Amino acid sequence: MLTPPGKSIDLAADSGRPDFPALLASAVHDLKNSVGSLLNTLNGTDSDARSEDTDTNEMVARLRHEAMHINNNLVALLAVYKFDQGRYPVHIDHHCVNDMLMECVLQYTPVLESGRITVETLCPEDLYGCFDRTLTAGIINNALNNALRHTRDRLVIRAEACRGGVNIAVEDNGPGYPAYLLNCDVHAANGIDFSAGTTGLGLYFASLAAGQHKNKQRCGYIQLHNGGRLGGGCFSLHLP
Amino acid sequence: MRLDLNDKKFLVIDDFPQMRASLKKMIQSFGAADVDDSPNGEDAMNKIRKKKYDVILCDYHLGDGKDGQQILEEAKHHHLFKYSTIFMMITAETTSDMVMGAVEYHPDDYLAKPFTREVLGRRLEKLIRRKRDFDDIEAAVYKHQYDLALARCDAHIATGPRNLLEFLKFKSGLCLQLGRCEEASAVCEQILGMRDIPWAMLDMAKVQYASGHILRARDMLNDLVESNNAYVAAYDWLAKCQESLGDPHGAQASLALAVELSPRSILRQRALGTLAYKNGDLACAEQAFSRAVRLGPCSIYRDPADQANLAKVLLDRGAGSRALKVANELIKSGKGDADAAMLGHAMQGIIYLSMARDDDARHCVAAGIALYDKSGAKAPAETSLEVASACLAVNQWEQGERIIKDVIRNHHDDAHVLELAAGIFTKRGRAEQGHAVIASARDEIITLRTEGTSLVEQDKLAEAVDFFDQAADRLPDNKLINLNASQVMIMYMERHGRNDKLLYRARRYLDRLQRLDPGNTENQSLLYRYKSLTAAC
Repeated sequence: MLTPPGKSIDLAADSGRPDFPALLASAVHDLKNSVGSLLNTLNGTDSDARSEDTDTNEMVARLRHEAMHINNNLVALLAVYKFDQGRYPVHIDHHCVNDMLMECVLQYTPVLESGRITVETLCPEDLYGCFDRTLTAGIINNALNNALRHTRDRLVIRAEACRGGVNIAVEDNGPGYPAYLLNCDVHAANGIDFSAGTTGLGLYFASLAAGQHKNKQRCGYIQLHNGGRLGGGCFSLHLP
Repeated sequence: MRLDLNDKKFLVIDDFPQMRASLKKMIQSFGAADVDDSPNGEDAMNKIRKKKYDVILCDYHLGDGKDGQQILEEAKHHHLFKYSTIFMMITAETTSDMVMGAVEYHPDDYLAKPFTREVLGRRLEKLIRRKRDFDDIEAAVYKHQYDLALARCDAHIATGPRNLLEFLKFKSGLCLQLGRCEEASAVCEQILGMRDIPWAMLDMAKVQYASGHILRARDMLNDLVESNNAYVAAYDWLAKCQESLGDPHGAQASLALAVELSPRSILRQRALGTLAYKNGDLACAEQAFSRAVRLGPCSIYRDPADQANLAKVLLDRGAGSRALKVANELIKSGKGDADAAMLGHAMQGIIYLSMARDDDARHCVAAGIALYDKSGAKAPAETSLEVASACLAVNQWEQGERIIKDVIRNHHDDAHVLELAAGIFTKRGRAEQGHAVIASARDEIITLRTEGTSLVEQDKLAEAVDFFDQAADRLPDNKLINLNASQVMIMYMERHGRNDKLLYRARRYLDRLQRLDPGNTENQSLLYRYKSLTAAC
């Protein structure tokens, strides 16, 4: 069943003006439910006999990719709103990094099967990290979705232990991040020109979500650069 | 996917037919043949009672009626699962506030919608692997062989498994449950030396609390919630510390935060209501008890006392007619529940009294006493004390004292009950008299136990068995008496061989103990000795 928004909205607040962020959050919540059931339906059709018609298959895959993109963005929007309100329930526990990454990739399996893009995951099976599973998967999903849009035909997800924490990188062989993104401060909302492209929200969310992870006075963060081993864009996340 | 689910029994619970169909299809595509589905909590409970499922996939939101958490609580409460049963909660929200705050029981995993078939398969594979890793440990826990469980846990840890932290977490929890604070502390220190992990910080605070370092525990918990402001269990423990440090207002504030994070826990709402009422914060108490009442019908933890408390709070707020409505509902809902009706009548009596309708009040209290007597003095202590309190309010001292004595005899070593009983007298300005009544009932039981244990010490086991058997028969809710009774019976059989009559009696007292004090380790070791007796033939 669809969930009601966490908090009822008083559309005519004391000032007589609507609480616009709360109104937006409520609408986003509603949209997310819609996209969720759209994706459920698409996921359900998947186990049915797949259509012989490759055009139809491709169309379903495109629908799914777009729906997932919307879903990721809505999840990111809601999370950013809750960070802002100090109401995001962060739950840090230890998890198998490989399991989390595999799940992110598996979400995209139907999309990948129809495309010509190969994804390789390089992660030690016994790598464990301490993180909020939902938030971290959200960060990786955003990075994956973005990389899938811009890559030519390859993606690599790489994870390794680093200074008591974990480093995860998503690399592609596309044209790389544009200069304005490489130079901007993704840690601040005003550092990103939201009108310039769709990546702004995803990066802003990723940066805030990474920052929710703390260990012994160290804080999580993200970095962007170009090159890497595939020569395209490279998104990396450090969890302390 | 190398997932062989051919021999596993599945149950899918979701109120949307398409979602059920889609989930079933996914599971069947992994080779599962036995997949049941259910559209709501009530139907699901019926299925769970009849069949031992291996894997249950349950949506959290199921429309009206029970939600996923309530299904889980009820099934675990009644031990309807195998220890190997996997319960996966499916949620529509990634940041679900509601799901995270279970007081007692957690699902094995959460899965956020939407997800693909591949993700579900991977999760199932992982959970089955995890259950397999812990199989020998959980089997020992299931049979109450805690020492064995700990030894097996240590054996796993010694092999340096990849999921070492999961074993350490399990060990820490087990040690805490068994009261082995030093071992739990060593585990937590080992982990916290490496890094900050919220559960290890919480367990460390629990260790401090259990060792009597309450101030230290509180400080640790304050630090913990500062860096993890959504850690509901940490607020619960913080409140516990604050209350025992004599800071009930701080405790209330902590619980209020926990309730805000997780509003659908009836136990926490009840705790908050009780605390707020004690603190004189009637508005907060009303809200918490109202919510507990609303959550009640679908919950295994439903307790008519929530309605009685709500009525009391309303009365104190000067809302007599609303209080009366709540009391009437209690009686109505108590059609099949004598305890609820008893409470309802007692509350009605007190409310009528406040409206200066003395005749009605006496009439209601008389009805409450009649129900109490009909129950054979077996109502819960709090309920009986409410009836007694109403008796005193309408000046029926003899009846009231009689009921209070019954209660004390059954709970002579329960500080909470003793305090409640004393409070009833104090409220009527007769603290001295109350003290005498309570002391005489207590002494009665203490003498009784001394007599019984001296029989054991003189090695008159057969006589001790009869003695405690009679005592326990008369005092169905007295923990120590029932413990002693089952103890001597088991001792007797260990020495003289088992016999069916004693096995039956001992089981009865053990079951009572299990109900009265489920976490008690002494009960568990008795239960284990009992099981060895029944197995030995």
